[in-house]
Amino acid sequence: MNIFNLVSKNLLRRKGRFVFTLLGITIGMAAFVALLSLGSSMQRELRAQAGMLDANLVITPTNWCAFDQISILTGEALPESLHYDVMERISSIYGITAVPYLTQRTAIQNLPVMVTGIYPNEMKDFRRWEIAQGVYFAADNERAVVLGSSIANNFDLNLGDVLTIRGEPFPVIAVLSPTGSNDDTSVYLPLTVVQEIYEIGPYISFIVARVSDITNMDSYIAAIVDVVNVSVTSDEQLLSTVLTMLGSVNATLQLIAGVALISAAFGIANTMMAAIYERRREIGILRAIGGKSSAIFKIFLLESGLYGLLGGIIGVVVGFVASIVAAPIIAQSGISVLMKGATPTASFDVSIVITAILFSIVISVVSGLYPALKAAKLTPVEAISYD
Amino acid sequence: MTNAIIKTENLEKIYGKSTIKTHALKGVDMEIPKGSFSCIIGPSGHGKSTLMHLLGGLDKPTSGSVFVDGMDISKLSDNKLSEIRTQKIGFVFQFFNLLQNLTASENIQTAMMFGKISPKAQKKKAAKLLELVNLSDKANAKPSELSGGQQQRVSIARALANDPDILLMDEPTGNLDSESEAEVLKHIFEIHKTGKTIVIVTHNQELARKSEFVFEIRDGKISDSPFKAIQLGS
Repeated sequence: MNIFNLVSKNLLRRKGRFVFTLLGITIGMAAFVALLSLGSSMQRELRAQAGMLDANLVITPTNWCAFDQISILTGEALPESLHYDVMERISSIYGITAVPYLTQRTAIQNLPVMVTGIYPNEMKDFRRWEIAQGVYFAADNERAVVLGSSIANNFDLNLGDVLTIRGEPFPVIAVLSPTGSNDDTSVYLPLTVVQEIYEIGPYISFIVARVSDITNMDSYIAAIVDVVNVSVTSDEQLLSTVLTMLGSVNATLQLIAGVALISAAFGIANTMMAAIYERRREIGILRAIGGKSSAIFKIFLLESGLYGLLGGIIGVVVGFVASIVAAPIIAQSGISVLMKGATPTASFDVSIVITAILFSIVISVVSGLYPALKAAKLTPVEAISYD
Repeated sequence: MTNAIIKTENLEKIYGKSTIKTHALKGVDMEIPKGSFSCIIGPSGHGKSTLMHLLGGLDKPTSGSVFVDGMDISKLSDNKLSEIRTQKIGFVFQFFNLLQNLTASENIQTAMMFGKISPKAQKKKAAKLLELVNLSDKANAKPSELSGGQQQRVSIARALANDPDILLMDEPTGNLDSESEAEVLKHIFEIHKTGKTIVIVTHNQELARKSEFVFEIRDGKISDSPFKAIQLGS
């Protein structure tokens, strides 16, 4: 017999209560882990998207909020709000290579798909696209579409198929090689064609630019805002803005999970307090046969710690499973534009596992502290005389 | 008495604070010789159990001293008292006080766990002790599967777990039928023969008659002369 044996036998004595108390901490931990795991996978995804943007500067209208800017990374359709004139002026600045984006929506097989109006050749060079099938745009006003690889795969589209956009048929002339970025999830048309069929006029959504000397970023930004009234953000700034926003969303969600955990902690404290009153006589017996008050303290603390350990382990497993199940649902839900392009794939992260289990143990031990102290303070006689 | 293993000096115990106080023991002086068989008798509510709790270090006196093996245990810290209970004293209670979720063997082993005996040695010794009380076949039985007499024998085996010099028993047969009582007493007498000091709180006059020393408690005092046990036996 050792203390651990004694404790495990105690825990399993009242199976119903054990299970319910354990469920409390398990659910709290599962929520916590699921949110942590989704949050970190989204951060990773956004970082990857930002890297794939492969731009140094993102030029947007001055009235855009950070939320709009996120959409550049996540691949959302954005309003046309920069005059085309801006593009020409920026292009004329020495050392800057810029490409315009005009993003709109269409539907294929009743599912929403993004349509991007581009400068065919400039964009192909800028994004280093390779053609998997077919022949790329031959002219800047060709009335045809080039598909991102995911679009072609997901909708089973082939060369020669015809897409109807705004009531007009467009043949598929080429499919891009996979890039691993949001480029795979759009349908491309020449900019002027998109402006015409969507009746937009001489407007674009945003511009991304690459500079020839990245050590001199500030002077490029100054040069741009000097010639046009736009907001210029470096990709680093953009990413940090997005991550800050994502961070605050994550923090809020984790706070909610935290509240669940705190109530689970009170559940443990409550169970342990009830156990003291029920097991008063038992505490007295243990004291009478030689148990020190420190041993009683240890027994009760170990019991609550075990709730934390078991709840933590089960919670981590359930949390990861939940995040794997929830990730695609969240990605498709309309309420979560934030997560949209960044298909969050929950991944097994050892640091989350260790942090969560330790956290769960600490919470349980802390909530068991007061009951354990109470139990240890009982004198043998008052405990043993209890009926 | 020079070879007293337990000795008390002017032992007082007052329960309660403020206005309502119960004077449970009023200056008890007694000596229990090493290896003796003693009974503490007296009417209910006159301080027998309180005295036993103080002798065994389960409680502390309001004033006065308790010496166990020459050591004044009334001034010891809680931890030290626990050590004394582990090493020198074994308790047997009227209602057995076994841990219900543990088997007979595990109950005995738990006491040895506090005596810092290795789990392997615990099992071996628990088996021997169960053999001593004729319960080898009940090692894996839970208390609820045992009769009252059997539970009390397990409780006696547990009291012997750390090989203490003194066994303090609070009405060990008070809750048993006569057949079980005889069986339990038989074991207690056998254990006494091994040299253990046995102190029994009891209402059983028969048992008192068979013991070497009898201390009668009335109104929190040892009746008759404080230093002289009442010899009831023939």
